[in-house]
Amino acid sequence: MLFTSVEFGIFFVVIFILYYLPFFQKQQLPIIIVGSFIFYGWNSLWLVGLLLLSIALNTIVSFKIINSFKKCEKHLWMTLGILGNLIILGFFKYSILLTDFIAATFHVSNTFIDSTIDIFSNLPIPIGLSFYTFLSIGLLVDLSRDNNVILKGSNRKEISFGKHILNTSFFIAFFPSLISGPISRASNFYSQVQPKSFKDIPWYTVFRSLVIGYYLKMVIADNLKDYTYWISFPYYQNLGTITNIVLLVGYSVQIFADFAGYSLIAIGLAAALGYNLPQNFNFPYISLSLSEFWRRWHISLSTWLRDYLYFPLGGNRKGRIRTYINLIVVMALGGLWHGATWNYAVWGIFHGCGLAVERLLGVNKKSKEIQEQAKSFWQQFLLDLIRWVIVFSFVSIGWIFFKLVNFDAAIDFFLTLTRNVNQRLSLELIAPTILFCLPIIISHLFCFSSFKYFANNRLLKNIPFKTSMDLILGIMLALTLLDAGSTDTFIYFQF
Amino acid sequence: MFSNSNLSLVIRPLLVCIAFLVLYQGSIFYGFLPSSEGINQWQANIIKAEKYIYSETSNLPIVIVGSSLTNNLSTKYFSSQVTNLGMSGGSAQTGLEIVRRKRIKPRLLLVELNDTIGRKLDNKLVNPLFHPLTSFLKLHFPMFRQEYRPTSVLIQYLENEYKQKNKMNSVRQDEKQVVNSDFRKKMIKQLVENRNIELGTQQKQFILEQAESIKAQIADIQKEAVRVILFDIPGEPVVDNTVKQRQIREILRSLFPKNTFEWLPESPNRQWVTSDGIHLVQSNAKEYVFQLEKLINTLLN
Repeated sequence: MLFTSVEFGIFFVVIFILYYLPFFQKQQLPIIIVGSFIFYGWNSLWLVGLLLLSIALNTIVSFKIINSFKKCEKHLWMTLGILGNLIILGFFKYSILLTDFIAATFHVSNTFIDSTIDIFSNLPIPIGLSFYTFLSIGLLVDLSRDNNVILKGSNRKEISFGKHILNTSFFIAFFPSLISGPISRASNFYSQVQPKSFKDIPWYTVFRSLVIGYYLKMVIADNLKDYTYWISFPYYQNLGTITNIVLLVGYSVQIFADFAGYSLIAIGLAAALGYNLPQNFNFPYISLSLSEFWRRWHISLSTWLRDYLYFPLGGNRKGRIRTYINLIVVMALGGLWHGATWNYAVWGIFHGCGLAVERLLGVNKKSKEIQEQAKSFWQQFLLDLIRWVIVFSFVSIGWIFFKLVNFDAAIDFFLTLTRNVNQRLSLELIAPTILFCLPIIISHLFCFSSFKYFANNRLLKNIPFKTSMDLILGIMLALTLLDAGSTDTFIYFQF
Repeated sequence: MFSNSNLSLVIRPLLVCIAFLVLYQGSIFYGFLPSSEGINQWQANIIKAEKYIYSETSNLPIVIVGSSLTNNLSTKYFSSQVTNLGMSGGSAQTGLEIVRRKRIKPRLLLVELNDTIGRKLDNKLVNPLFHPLTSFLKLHFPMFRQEYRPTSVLIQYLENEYKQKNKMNSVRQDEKQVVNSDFRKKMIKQLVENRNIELGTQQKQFILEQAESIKAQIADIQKEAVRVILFDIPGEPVVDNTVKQRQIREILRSLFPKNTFEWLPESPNRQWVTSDGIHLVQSNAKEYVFQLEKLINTLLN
């Protein structure tokens, strides 16, 4: 079920009413769990089976971890749980990639491989599996480190298996974040599990998150997709260099608006049910370094990768070379998490190498020193601008591996940029793309470190913040009603 | 229920939104805001369909449905009696479905039938047009129609200004450039290469399936006393004579035989010129429309 569909609107209203009816107050968790199954299985019922399998595995393993007294016992259960999760993920998501890889490495016969791939290709796409697998692994690791992440200081004997099933099902299946996150942490989520009351709903947070989220998705992302479509293979070959570059920038904005929009809608819906989900985006395109970009983009995933992969691998504590390798390995796996094709791994390695080079050159330290020496506002602005152009170009180049799943096509895209320099501008594509990117550019500009100071002290000095926010939200809501593009699935659903 | 501050924080932007919508609807109602023809192919298709569906006049005697080939026959060349529902990137099935689902039917329906039969009915386009809630809103509040989308109106305005400022060349001059362009030659060469191979079994099967669905749509429409006539639009002769094109024509003629389905007499044999191997250049499109209307008038009289 899509957040932007009419069915979802009706579904949420029904769930919301049942959830807050005083008569059902003690049944709030079961209502959300059943609702989540309906939400997840709406278009494909078998998905509910997959979700139940994941819930069963993680409920049993996490209960075993809670009730283990020895550390080694806890670790054993955690390892088994992680393996179970990875087997499910691997089977449903990476089987074709692995079969291909094994065939190439061990020279297995073609007919066998073809029939195996045929079987795997017919498996339905398990949307959201990557998200709730990471959520569950996080739960198991956190529990093996400290029972208190879900016990909140109470005695382990107070947690019955029945209550634990309910809480864990609720944590994994919570429908606002089930399909595309944000990836919650058990420690933040379990502590919020308690009866919720209608009067405590933070209406403004709900309203703001939903209005901005739907605007980003339906007005910006859904409209941009009609133009960025033209950088698909082979259409980009007939477009000039500048047109292709503008469309690539458009795609960078589209992918941000699509996913940040989804995350905000999820945050708004969760807030309406009385739960706080973690922030997932923080104006990523104002970043002046790649490491800053990853602190602002898909925050719940990048912090997950940091805490559960980068740190256990040794992080930056095992020497410089090992740090660079760790960065590349983590980013490559993070890339593969997005999809079962090698282009996602290339995208991850591309970012991993970027992060390693940034660290090797000490870019952040040097830039700070240079910035301190910059005397005037304009000097500082210019320096920031150069850094921004480098980071934004790097990130946008990376997105091509998302847009063009075929690796050869991605390379051909860059070759086309050098070939079609003299081709005419396609204004019919450029003008709408720029227009739909404009709100994102403006909103990012006001958060851009150098410009922020200028904006706050000169431009917006006499404009009351609250009034302007009311105006912006009101116009955004009106534009969502008037200017929404054709509804399409969320880009991150495929991950 | 609500704390006062919480409530007012939500109500103020809601009031801004309502004020914006009222102003916008008002400016459309009083004619301050021009409509747009669509800033991309997808939008242009919807605008065309919405204009037909929400049209207040019940007297739309002739409707023509088809693909971008039909869409290329500009409405300005037709008499006011004809509504063109040619869908760029689509096929006759989409237009047929729109006619089938609209309550008031035309007297005569022309259906383009050719290789574009290989494209399915676009349900993503059709279903929202007939959704009870959205169609109610679009019928009574035109601001919700595609033609009045703020960005489309703005871009169309900018485009018109740009064209006026730069005094765009006449169609004739542009056409000469198009006909002699390398792009056209490359496209025709590619089309001839791609279409000089025989149809695969899967493609044949797909055509059969689509033909069945078209027959069902036509049968439904004919129940309401609509005269349905099939036709094909001529293209670049060298492309029309490729193996695949000839094969598709033969299959379509056998699936829609003349003794059961009415076909429009073929246009006189002449060297039609296209801009890309598929779509007629505008001067030829105009000439073809002239011939088409003559044939229609003969049939109607």
